[in-house]
Amino acid sequence: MRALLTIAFSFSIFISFCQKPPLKFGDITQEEVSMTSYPADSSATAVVLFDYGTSSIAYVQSNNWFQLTFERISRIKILTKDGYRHADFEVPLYHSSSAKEKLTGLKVVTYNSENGKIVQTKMKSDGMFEEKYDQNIDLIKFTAPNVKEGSVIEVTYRITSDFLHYFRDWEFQSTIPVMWSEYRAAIPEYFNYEKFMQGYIAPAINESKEFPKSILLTSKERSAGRVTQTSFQTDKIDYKEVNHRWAAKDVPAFRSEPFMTTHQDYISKINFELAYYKFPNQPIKPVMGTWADLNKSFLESENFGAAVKGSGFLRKITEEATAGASTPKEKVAKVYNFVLTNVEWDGSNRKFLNDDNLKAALDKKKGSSSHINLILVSMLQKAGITAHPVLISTRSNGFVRENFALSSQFNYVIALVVIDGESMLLDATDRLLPMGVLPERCLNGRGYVISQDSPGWVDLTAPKSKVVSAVELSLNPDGELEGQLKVTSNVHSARRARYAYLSKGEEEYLKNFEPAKTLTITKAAFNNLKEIRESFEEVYDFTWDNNSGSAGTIFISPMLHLQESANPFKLEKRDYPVDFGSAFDKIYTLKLQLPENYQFDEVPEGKVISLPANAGRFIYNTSVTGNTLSITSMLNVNKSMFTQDEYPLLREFYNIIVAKQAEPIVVKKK
Amino acid sequence: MRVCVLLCCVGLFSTGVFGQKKYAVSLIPDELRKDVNAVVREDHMTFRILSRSKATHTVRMVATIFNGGGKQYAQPYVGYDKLSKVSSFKGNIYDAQGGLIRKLKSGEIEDRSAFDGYSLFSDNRYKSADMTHSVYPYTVEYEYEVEYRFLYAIPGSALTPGEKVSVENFSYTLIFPPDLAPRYKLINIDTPPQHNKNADGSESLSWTFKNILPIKIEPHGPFIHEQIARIMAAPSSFEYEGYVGDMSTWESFGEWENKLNEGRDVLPPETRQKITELTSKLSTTEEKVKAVYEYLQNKTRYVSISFGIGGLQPFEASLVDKVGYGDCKALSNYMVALLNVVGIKGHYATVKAGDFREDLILDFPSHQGNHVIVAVPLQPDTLWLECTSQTNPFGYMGNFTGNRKAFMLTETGGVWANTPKYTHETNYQTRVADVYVDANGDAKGTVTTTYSGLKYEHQGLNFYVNNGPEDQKKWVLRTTNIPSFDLNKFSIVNHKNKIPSAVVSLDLTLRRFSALSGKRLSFTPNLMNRSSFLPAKVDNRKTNVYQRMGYTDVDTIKYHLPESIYPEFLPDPVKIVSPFGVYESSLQVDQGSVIYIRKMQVYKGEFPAASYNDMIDFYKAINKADNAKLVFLTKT
Repeated sequence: MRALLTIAFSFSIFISFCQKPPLKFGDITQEEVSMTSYPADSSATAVVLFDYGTSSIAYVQSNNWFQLTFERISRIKILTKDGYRHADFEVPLYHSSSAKEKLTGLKVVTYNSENGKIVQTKMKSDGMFEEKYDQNIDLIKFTAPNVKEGSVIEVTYRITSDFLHYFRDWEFQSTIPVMWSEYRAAIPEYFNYEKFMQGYIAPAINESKEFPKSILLTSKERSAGRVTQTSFQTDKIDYKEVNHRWAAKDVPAFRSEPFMTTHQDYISKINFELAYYKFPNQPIKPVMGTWADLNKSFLESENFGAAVKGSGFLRKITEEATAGASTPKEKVAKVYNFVLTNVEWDGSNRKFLNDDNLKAALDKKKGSSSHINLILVSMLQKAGITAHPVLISTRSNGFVRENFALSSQFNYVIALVVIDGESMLLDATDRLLPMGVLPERCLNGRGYVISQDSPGWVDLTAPKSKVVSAVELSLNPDGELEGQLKVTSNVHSARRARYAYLSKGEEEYLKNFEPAKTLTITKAAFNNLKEIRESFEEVYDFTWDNNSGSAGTIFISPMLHLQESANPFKLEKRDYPVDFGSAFDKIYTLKLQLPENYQFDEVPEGKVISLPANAGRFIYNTSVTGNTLSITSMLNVNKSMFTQDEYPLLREFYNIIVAKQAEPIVVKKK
Repeated sequence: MRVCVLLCCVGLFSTGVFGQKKYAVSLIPDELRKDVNAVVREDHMTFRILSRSKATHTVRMVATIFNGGGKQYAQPYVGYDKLSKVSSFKGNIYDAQGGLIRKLKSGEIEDRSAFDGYSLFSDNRYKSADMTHSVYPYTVEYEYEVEYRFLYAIPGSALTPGEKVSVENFSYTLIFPPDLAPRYKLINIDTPPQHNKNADGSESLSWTFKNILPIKIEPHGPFIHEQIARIMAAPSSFEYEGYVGDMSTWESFGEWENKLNEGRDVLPPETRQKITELTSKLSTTEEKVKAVYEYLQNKTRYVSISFGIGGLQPFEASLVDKVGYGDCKALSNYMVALLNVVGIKGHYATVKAGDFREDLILDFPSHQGNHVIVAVPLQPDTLWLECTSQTNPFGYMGNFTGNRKAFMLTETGGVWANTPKYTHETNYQTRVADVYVDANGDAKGTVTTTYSGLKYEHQGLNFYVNNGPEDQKKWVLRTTNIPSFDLNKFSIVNHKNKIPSAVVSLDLTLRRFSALSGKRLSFTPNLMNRSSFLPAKVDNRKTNVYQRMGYTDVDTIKYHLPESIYPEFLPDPVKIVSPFGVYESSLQVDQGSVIYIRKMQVYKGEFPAASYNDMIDFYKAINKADNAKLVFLTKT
């Protein structure tokens, strides 16, 4: 019977993939082997000639359920020795208690041209290794034999998987160019996946068709008696299968650029997410539903909403923590401080409480963002405050697609609290930020509020970071410079400075202080180091052995290495947007006092430039009153993201700033 | 598990004399608490040799963590592999009063493969636990035991594990049967061990120390390993997967390594013939070695696979021949086998590789290397070959393996030899540039820089020389130290010699190169090689001062100027002579041009501690000279 089933299957597979596969394993052409360069990208160390994958879901009678099969054929051309690492492969396989992914049919062949003939070398078992990476993941590692410059490596394998909710995504783009990348998916009508394309490359082919298919169900009956008889009954179930085909042609290599989030946000890729099951004569069983469904499931989850609502042990703790607080505002502050100081963030990003419940986290005094902020929400609610958890995706986790109610997009939890009708976002994971300021990792679009009566989206913003550097400089009659520099930073700039100071200590911090390379710091003071709500203040007294000029004329660089000494944007064009993370202001003021025996001979002129739509502005002002010069240099970057089209302007904007700030002040002896 | 529970209870309930719990923070002597991130309360390591091929390693640590800087002491990490196992691992966390907060649960112990960043596969694994706690101070206590089914390397112990840590109680104990007495070596201490004969017939050597104050690692001093007091140990007679050896002399250690390599140099006849043909027309030995080396570079690639003895024993040459890959041992062994075909003696040689690594400790035979290369003794100089790179210039060792000792295997064991030296005479960076400045302050320029010797590795240049232009451009953009520029064109030419060099040519547009203010035009004549290095201040310097790399930079920049300007001010020529190096910069004014010449020579070497401030002054003076400005007035 198994044979029959197989025949039925192979027949139907033939029908469904009526389109011929783009390549067959082993059909290597002379052309591919003799190719020596890839004209579209002369830097390519290797090229993916073909990458072809199929994922299909089929019924497996022995399991009485469906199984996912992923098959792949990749053909890679090695162009230079630097490309040899593309001959090493790694495939992670996931397994949980009973279900698993299994790799079979691994074949690796290297093709080389020797004396005009194609010679093939097959990988033997000595080229493959299985490594237990951790509890749930095994790594299958393999390496192609006999790899040389010019080799073509062909790899094929199949992965069968019990995890239908983990339909393999497909990346059309790689760190090396891809000439043809094709992915096909055959999905029975019973399973509905949301599919979304991302990246900057348009697919050459994007089509789907429906085909009729059938499952043969065989049931077996055994009669008892002297002679055992087995009777078989076969049922045929017809269904439709949707066949998708996506392909991209001549995809350039992905090269990362400065000011990016995660490369996963930029590469061209198709993602899948199981939306619902729909079996005949049964109601739709949603897996991914609407945002309202997602809200409901999070509210009800043992590892989320139920933990917030429950966790009765927090009631007493909340009472103690809020003792003496009369207004809601005070209560929020007390609860926030309690969580902040009692549970340390372990650095992990999670949305569910997988390993520990809230009590365990509080006992251990550490936990993931969800532990911390769900304790926060739970305590706030228990104190009678309106508070809700908010699901977000951190910057390193990538963008959230609001069209898809997918919980898998989120990896982090923060809290929304409403006091006297005003709402505020809280994250008690960072002791160096004041209450109500989200860490930079959280500033990524919008978050989704999980709430019984007011679910929905909320903007993840933070106050603009500002650094003000103020210098009072005076020239003494002997031509020596001394002065005081005061750096005041707030929000994230202050956090960065405090973190650097606290983690390394004052000595190390001063060592890394850029102006200390040119100035001699005679005294340093740090204010508000622990008063997180205040601006962080650094005050330095210094002398400056300025080396410009002769006895009579002195040239002074007004910026003391504190501003933009070089343009951070060196590439003349970009393929992907610039993402600063958040808007910021950088302000620099200088007050230069001359002694009686000197005078200003030349001071830089003022300048104002702006980027379109006030996205950025630079104001440079100078004024002289008697023997005192004042300079104000103000850089405002008012948005965090600049598209690749805006890039040339942004680069030029910085060019002008760098040049302006380099202009010297000329001082002469009377 | 029952034993564990009992032990923990003892820990929990044993109290100090005045009813204080024994890990209470208040019991730490005041002098140990000053300026530290953590105090190690107990650090006890025991290595017990059971037989020539069996040993156990036990560690017990108690550390009080005062702030986030001491975090690492609350995160134990235990490595193991196919031939060893972690037989116990337990821990407790205590609060400031010494009260037990919680025990480490077995579920909290992670067990992972140790990915070293370069191996395709190895059997190295680790168990680790994160015992950090959010309320400071807290104390962690952990204990583990590793059982070895071999005897080869004996873990040593440092009296203080790092900076800003003090240690209350330290001990290090070696236990062994009398006929397997290990050897030891003391670094920065001279306390002899206590030698005991135990009731069970075993003997032990042990050291104990109390109240060790925090140390300060001085910058530009000896390597950290050389500044810290520590104990090293190694076996004499040992056995690793059936291979028996004696490590007490380098000769006998070499004999053992020879045993591992024995019979692994067989090559198939076709390869032997290929090699013979390849070299038959070449006359000198060096030419032959070069041809064989290039054959190796074209035929193989680096893939590291190691398990068990495979961590020490090379693949057979015939396997490398078949699959075309291997690790440093396999590829070096293959190279030696290939050379053998044409009657050239190559030696398998062990080094401690890595940029500026400390030398091996020569008076203490033990496993200290981490890489294998090949030495071919020739007159006048021995040729050294790095066999894991497909692009490395023939005979070039560079920062990775140059300027150090290597342990060379010979028929009779092993001997020490020096790998090539690279000094300020071989490490050159020579730059010639023409910059055309116009009256608006905009400029265009061509720059040609030759990077030679260790400068060939400047910011990874030795890798980029083999890349395509798109990637090379990244290097050029990153290393061109000019505030803003447009790169019109560039090229990189690679010269693969024993002292290799690369010539980088740039064609640049420098908009707003020169600051234009009123009637003046000014710029810094040091176009793109301004020093900003400044050694950190150190009070009361104790250790000698080291410069690890010697080099010579010469920049000759010719500025072509518009007729409408004339110099208002030219910086004076500067010459700074110091034991650390020599610096000179000067300007020559010519018809319509100014030539800036800067020569900086830095000497590699060891200098007395007292000269540290002179080193600071030397670089300060250079930084200052490099920032000198050139100012012109416009003729109006």
